[in-house]
Amino acid sequence: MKAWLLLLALGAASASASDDLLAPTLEDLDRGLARAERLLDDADTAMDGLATAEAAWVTEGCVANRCAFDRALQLVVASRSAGHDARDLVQSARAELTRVHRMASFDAVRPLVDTRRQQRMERLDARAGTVSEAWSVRTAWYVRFVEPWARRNATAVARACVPDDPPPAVEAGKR
Amino acid sequence: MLAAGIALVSSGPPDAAALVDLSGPRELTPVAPMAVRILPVARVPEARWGTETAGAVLLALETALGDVAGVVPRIDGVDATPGFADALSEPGLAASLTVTVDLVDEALGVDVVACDVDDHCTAHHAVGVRTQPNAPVAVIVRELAHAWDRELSVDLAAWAQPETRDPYAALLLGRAGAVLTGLMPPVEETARGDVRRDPLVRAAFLDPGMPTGQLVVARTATEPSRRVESASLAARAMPSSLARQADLAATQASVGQLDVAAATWAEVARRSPRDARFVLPRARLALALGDAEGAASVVAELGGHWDDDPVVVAVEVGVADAKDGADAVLLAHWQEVDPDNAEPVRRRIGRRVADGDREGALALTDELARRGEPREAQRLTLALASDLGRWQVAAEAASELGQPEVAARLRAAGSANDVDARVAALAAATSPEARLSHASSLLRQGQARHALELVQGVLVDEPWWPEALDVQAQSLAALGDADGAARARARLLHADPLYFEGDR
Repeated sequence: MKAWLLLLALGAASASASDDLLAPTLEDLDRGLARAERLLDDADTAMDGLATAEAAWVTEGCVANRCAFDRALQLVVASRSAGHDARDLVQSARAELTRVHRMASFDAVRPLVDTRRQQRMERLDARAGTVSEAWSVRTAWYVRFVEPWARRNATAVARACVPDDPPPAVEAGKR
Repeated sequence: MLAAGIALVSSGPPDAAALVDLSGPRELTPVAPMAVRILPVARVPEARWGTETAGAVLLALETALGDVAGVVPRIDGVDATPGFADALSEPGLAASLTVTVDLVDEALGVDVVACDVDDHCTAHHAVGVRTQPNAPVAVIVRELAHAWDRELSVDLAAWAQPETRDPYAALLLGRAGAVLTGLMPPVEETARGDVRRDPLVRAAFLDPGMPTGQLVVARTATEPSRRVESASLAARAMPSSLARQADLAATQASVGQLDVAAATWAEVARRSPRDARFVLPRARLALALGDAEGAASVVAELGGHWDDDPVVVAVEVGVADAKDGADAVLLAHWQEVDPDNAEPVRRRIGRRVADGDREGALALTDELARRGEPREAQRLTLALASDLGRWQVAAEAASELGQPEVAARLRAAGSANDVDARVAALAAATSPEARLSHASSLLRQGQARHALELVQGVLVDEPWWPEALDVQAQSLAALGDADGAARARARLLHADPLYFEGDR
């Protein structure tokens, strides 16, 4: 499933994102923190999915070309989907945390940022860093041990994988 | 009777046999703590070394009084010894001591007039020799303890003995006392800690066995390790002294030796159970060690007797914070009993913000300003009014704080439904957020080209800012540049793949 499909239930984007940063409030900050947290939670889950697929690639013998073709194809699809989703989720979490820091430094918000919120921001920053690093490590493993099989069977993989949605069309004055 | 209101208690040379009244450490009965203020020496002897002798007498009096049960001694204008720095004393229970020192050749006479808060006074007199000021002071302290009906926690007979056989060390100890108590000028900054030039450390350097000399070093040295070492030497030289144990514990805590300090304070508490003088430093130490329950049980020793004492309430707040967090009632009580302290008000504002009561928090900002924090009050007014959507109030606070850019942003935020007003408010703004919002507003006005110019300026500094890329894409689309818009949108999705999803 596309990562953003997971998030559709969370609600539509606001009409004027650039205006949100003009004079943010503590509520905006809390909303940003909550969103970053949810994105990272989802990223963690996607990373678990990637790790599970990669572990199966080893334990089921695919790494030595000893697993069934259909199973190998399924694991490639699972790895690619989870990897793409994890990448999108953690990148958006980082973007959201940048927004959060921008809000927290605004003079109308800074005096209200208590220790609890400050610590929450620091924890989320650390989590985003950890997931980013884990993604790099997992991706490197995928490229070395899974991708060669996927390249050899590129046609089947292309048929099995869901293509990325194209970006939404740009319409003037509308997001 | 000497004079109206003054009773002469005794006089004469020290009687060594009478002083042998304690043989070592003993447990004290809890007693109400009493502040004893030692006033400046009324008359400094004109004889040679008169000033040093007066300094030595003051030091001796202060150190001995600390071992009278419940007494909190303090020389006027001088910080208390470490163990008594945070000592509680019973409101309305206090005494002041006026000290007169006479010196004729080597003959020393010490007169102390002790007055209570009702101006009932007793006069005490003792004589001795210049090089042994502890002896007459011991006589007077014993009389005072008797008059106040309080036990002694020190072996006074041992304490009355000369601290040193070195007459020069004794003289320099007196000089240290004179400097410490302001009878002599303070040590020059360049001489501080120099054992050749600084009388505060020189006496202990000449004879490290002098407990009072070590105590002077413990309370004045700048190096933490030196303070602890000296406090330890002072305590070891006077093993029966509860006051020196307390000094050691407080010094250990002050330099971060928390576990060691806890053990020393435990020994003090064992010897003097429920001694209110030492409750605050013990509770603070327990808090520093993360032992909220321990701190609570130490504070409970006070039995609620000091519930209106601002320092005690502050510690109770600390204990509550270490558990579930201080509640609104406790914080309000703190504000009430500490009418000039800004901290309780600051804490109440924080509590109300945490509870979502922004209106209530805003209502407290005037009180914060009244308590000497007008700038902080303005900053909070800015933030809270903004949070409540009172843009004009927030903008005025920003202007008064000298933040025109913030004021412009807040005024613009207040005109969300009036795009023309917003454009006007942001015309001179310089922050990236304000320039971006300006561009977005221009776009809403139909000024796509102007918006594009503005947002491209923003992107020079922050090329991967998703919101700016979004405005750029929309501006390009409005100008009919579909390819440019698609490229901007692609960059945007690279920077934030889920930009169009979620609940932002």
